[in-house]
Amino acid sequence: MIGTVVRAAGDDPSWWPAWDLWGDAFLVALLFGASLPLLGVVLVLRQQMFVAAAVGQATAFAIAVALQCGLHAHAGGTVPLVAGLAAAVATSILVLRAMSARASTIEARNAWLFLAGGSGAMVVVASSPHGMQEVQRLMLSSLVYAGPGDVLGAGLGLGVVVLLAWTLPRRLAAWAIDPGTAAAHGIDVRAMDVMIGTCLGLVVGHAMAATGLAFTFGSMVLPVLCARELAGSLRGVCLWAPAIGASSALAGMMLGNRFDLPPGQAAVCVAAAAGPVLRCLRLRRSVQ
Amino acid sequence: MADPLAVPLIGAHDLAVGRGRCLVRGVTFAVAAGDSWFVVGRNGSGKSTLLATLLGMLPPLAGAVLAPCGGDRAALGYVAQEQRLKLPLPCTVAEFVGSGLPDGLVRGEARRRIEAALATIGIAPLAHQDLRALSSGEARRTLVARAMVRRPRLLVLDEPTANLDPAATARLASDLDRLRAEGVALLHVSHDLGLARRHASHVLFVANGSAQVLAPERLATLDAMEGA
Repeated sequence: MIGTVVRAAGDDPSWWPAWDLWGDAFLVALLFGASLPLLGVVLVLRQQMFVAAAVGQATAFAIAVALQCGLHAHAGGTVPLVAGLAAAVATSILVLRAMSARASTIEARNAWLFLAGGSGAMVVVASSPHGMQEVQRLMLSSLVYAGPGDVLGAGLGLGVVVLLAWTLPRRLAAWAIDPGTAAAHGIDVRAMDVMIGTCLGLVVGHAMAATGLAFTFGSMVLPVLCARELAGSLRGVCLWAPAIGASSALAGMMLGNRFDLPPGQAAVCVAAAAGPVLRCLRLRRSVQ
Repeated sequence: MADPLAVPLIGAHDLAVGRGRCLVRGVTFAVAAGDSWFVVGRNGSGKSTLLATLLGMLPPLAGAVLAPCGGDRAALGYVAQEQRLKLPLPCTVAEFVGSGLPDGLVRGEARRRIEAALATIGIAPLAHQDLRALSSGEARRTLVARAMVRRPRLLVLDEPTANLDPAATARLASDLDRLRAEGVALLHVSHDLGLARRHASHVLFVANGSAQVLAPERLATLDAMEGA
């Protein structure tokens, strides 16, 4: 990789991706980079951050089953995506309901979903070269296949997430922090589970299909962990996290273009590196 | 027309509760405005199950529950026993207290209510403090403030003084006495018989699968028996 970096620097390619070639991927990265961390705030508050990975793997499994059944040849090839979204929504609702009912983090269930979904997807398409290639793309993350439909979906997802956060901030906080007290105070926790689960499933399922697991899971969790080093309040975290997510996505695209790196993984690496740096800065500031 | 203050804010008639098997039966009582009821009993006697049933979180096995505040949940404040105040993200006391408010309030009204609740419980200086930096006593009072921000007619508290030192317990009890004097009805679930003896207007004693209403003075006898 170092050789690639040196060669690329010597050739002096641009930091900015060519818009006609990478414009859709660029927009998808920015839009998901902003929406996924907002959903991540809720999951981290609920101490359920691995839900994102479990939902992502369930999506991959459903897409693999649809491919293996030959459904990609029907309805303009949208059936695997629809199957993935349906699996993501169902998994999200079930996991959130289980957490509300048991008042526990149910990490064992998330781990089971993650392992069974990921391994199951590989097993299902083992005999299909095309299917295996698609599942590997989902697991490895790649933004390069994003198209105009993905831009539209990611934009809609961001709009819905922002609308929810803007109109129901206290209800969301009550549900995320303490579902038991929320129920006693008259909030319909079951309806909230279904509403947030549907939103989470649609956004994560689509992000998974368009960008892959590493970018989806990384964008959901890492910007939130960075934001908590900068913010002194929940409101601050909700403002910082999408800004950091979108900035990481932007940096990932630029690094990817400049040094010929996979942009999804580059974005995750940027966010992952920012966390410890911000933590050190905060600790240093608190000592001073 | 019936006096709304005469209508019980919560209660039960010949209620049986349990999770699968019956834990407590024959529960009959009614809480009115300004009352301070204590549900007392040993650990595992069924106090928290009774409370969950009264709040509609569990179905009754038999008998009837008087819906809290006549079904108006906006008039109910609840302080749960186990709380995850050590959140993984920064959250100020004011934000946490505000999570008890209903959505749809204009920003100014919400701020006024939060400030009033913090002042009532005496934690206004902590408004911008991170929850994770609070002591146990401050955390308990923050939980009460979250319930108070709803301007409740009935405050339900599950083990409000658990793990508090005597000074923090006395301070919280004083806050609750003041609320009661303002007409708020209190329903505590507690195993602290001393606290119940000093602050109860009525006591519901849960033991051996049944519940009976006692005069608070009778708790001195129970306290002595517990000590023995």
